[in-house]
Amino acid sequence: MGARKRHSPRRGSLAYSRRVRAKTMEARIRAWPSRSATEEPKILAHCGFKAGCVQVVSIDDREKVPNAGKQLVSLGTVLVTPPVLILGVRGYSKDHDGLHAEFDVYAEDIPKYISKEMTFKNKEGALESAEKSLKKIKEIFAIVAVSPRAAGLEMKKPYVFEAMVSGGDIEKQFAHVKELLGKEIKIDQIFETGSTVDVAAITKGHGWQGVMRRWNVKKKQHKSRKTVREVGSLGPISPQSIMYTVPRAGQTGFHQRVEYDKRILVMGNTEDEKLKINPDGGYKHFGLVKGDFIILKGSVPGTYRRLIKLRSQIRNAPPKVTKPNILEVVI
Amino acid sequence: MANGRLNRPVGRNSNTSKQEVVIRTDRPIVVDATNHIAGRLASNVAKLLLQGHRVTVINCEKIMMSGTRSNQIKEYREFLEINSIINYKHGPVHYRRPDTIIAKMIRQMLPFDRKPSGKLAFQRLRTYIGAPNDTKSLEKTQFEKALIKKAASNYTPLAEICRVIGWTE
Repeated sequence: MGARKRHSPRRGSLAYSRRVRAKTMEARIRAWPSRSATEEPKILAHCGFKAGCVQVVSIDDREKVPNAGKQLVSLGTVLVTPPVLILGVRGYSKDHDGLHAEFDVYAEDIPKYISKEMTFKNKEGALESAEKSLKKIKEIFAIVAVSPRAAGLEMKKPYVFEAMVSGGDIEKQFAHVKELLGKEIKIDQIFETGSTVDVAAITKGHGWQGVMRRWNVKKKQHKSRKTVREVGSLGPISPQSIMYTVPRAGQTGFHQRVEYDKRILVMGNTEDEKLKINPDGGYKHFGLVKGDFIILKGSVPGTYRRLIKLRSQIRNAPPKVTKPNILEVVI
Repeated sequence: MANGRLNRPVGRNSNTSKQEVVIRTDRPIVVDATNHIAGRLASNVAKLLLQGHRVTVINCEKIMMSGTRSNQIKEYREFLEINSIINYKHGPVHYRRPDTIIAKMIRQMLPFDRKPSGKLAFQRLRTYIGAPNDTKSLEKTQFEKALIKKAASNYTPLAEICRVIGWTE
C-alpha cells in the first residue's frame, strides 16, 4: 500500500454509482413504510412544489440536548402543496417475478384540466371485476394527480404518480380509496404539523463537471506537470483498462435522491393573515405563494418550481408527535 | 410467470416451413420435476427437445441435488468468483433462481452454441417455479429413471441451495 492511501481515504462515495441524469423530472419512491393491520388504512404520500427558503425561530423541544428549551434558529424550505386529486386505484399481485398490476379503476368524472392532457378510461365492468379479484391482491396503490397550475406555475401537464395505501387489510384499503375517488385531498389530511417526512426529488443539474467538482478530488500542487485539476493516476498498468472506481469527469447533478427525516414546522394557508409567508415581490424564480403551503426544517433537493414528493417517515418514526413551538418566521 | 432471460418466445424470423408450424401448435410435454435428480432430469429433457418436442418443466424448486449440501454451495460459490473486475458483462451470467439454473443445465446439454438446431431446441423449452395456470389441465409426466431412489431427506432441494446463493423470492 502506497503512502497516499495510508494517510488519506478515497475521494467521493461510490454509493450512488453511475452518476447519470434522471429519466424524468419526477422522482420515484421505491420503498414504503408498513403500518400494522390494526390501524386504519391511509394514503402514505403527498407532494409539493419548492418555492424558496426562510428562517424559522422556534423553541428547541428536543429533550436530551444542551440547547433544550432555548431559542433555535433554523433554515426552513417553503413548499407549495396544492390539493391532490385521487384519480384511481391500482391493485398488484405478487409472485416470483415480482409485482404485477392486476386492475385499474379510475374515477368517473375527471376534471377538465386533467382530461384535456391525458385520458383515463375504465374498461367495462372494471369495478366489479376488481372487487372479485381482491383475493389475490397483495398491495393497493392510489393513482394520484397534481396540476402545477394549482401551485401558480405555467406548466399545464399534470404529474400522475402512485401512492401506497397501508394499514388494515386489502378490502379495507380498497374501500378507503374507492370512497375518495374523484375527490381532492389536502395535505393536512395525510400529515400533521410536527411529524417527520421523507423527501424524494431530482437534484439541481450542474451539467458536465470536472473531477474536483464531481468527486471532491484534491487539487495538485502548482508545480505539477500538465494539469492541476485532474486525478494523479488512472490506475495500475494491468488490468489494461480504467476501473469504474477511478473518479472521472461527467454529468453532475440532476440525480434522483431521497432525503430522510424532515420535520414539518408550519402548515398553513395564505388566506389566514396571521402568518405572512410571501416576501415583497414574491420568491425568486417562483413568484407568490397562493393556497396551502408547508415549511420543512432543513434543505430539500432540487431547484425552485420542481416537484417534490413527500412520503411518511420510513426510519425511526417516533411513537407520538409533538407540535413545534414557532416564535417567528423570518422571510 | 415466464422467466425473463432464458425463455424467449419462439423466434419470428425463423423459417416458417410446414413442419415447424406443426411443432408450435403442438401441446407441450409437461414434466413435473418434483423429486427428480437435476442432471438426470436435464439429460432426459434435452433428448426430448432435440427430437422436436416442446417441453415445459414445472415445480423447478423441488428438484433434488445429490451430494452434500455444503459441497453444492461451495461449488456454486467458486463459480461466482469467475467474474471480470472491469465489466461484469464480460464474465458468465450467474443465475440464482431454480428455474433459470435448471434451464442453463439443459442448455449445456444441447448444441446451443454450435448448431442452429440446438438454438431452436432451446427455444422450445419453458421452465417454471411452481405450476402456472395454463399447465393445470395438461397431463404431467415423470422420468422414472431420474427419480430419487432413497428417502428425500438424503438429498437437498434446489430451492434451498438457491436461497443461500442469493435468490430473493
